[in-house]
Amino acid sequence: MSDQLIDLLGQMVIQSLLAIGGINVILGELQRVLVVENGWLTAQEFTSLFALAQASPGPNTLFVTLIGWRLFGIGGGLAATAVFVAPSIIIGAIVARAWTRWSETRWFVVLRRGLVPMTVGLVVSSAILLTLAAASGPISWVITAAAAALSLTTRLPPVAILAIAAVVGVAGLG
Amino acid sequence: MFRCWLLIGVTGFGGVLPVVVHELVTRRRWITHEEFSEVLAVCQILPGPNIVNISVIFGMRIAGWAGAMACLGGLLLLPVIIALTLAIIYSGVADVPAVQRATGTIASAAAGLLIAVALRLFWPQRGNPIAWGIGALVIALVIGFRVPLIWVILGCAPLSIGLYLWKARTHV
Repeated sequence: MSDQLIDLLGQMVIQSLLAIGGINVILGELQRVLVVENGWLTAQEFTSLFALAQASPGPNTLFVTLIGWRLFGIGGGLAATAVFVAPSIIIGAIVARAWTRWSETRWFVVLRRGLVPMTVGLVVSSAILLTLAAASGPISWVITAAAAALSLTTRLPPVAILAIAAVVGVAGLG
Repeated sequence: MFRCWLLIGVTGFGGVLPVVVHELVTRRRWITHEEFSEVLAVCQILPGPNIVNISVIFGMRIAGWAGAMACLGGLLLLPVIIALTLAIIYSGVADVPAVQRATGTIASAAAGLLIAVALRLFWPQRGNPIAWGIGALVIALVIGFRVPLIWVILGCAPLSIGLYLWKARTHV
């Protein structure tokens, strides 16, 4: 294995452990590590892969698959996915075994409620960074704002909103 | 169980959770609403992608290791194949101007969807000064100073929990 592949897989294990509250929390960090720090992907590639992952069915975890694929082909995609979910499998197995109705204990409630402000800040940061990365002109700001508004005010599923955006793009308005 | 999670994997676009609730709780009654809420609550404070945690814990509780692997495998198998196929097709046509434009607009829309998620998370906290303070601090560290996430979490998590405890105490 090349050093870069080992670095990438190591990063995926770390990222997985940092994703307390889901993958949306670590999007900003992924961008920092992959684009800013190591220059493995351009900002453009990063947002294109994110768009592809969103347009595919299934969990957001697929973003990690696509990052691995972009850098090391199909094997890289599978390896990145495997090491990204591995910590979750181990932690899930431990928790399932030691299940003692955690959600009623006091420390659990404190942990859950207490962490909310940080999670909110991290997801907002991810949203801002992705918006900036995707912004290529006034039209892209309009699309971002319209997608957010549609998602908040209608019951359209996310894939429908992405499909509308794709049509707008193909029509040449973007 | 494998088949059920296979279905969940392919039908969940941009967020699998609603499909999981529908299949496991409403349709198949493998788990009650209360149990599911509890599993979800625990998964939200565990590291890792929530949906992966849910599938592993659910499978494990019902059928041990085999169950966990069946659920997780079902969840990931088809989406990984589909995403890689799409990516390969995409790389073949990435130079076509229309495709480039569509990728750009989809990326902008995906960012908009994430903004909506962020606003939904924030809305219940809008009257909470701690959320404003910690939120602003986290955003400044992540975007303004690009501090590595591990330091942000190690610094802000104790602060966030400490402030919550302090507020709970002064209000009782």
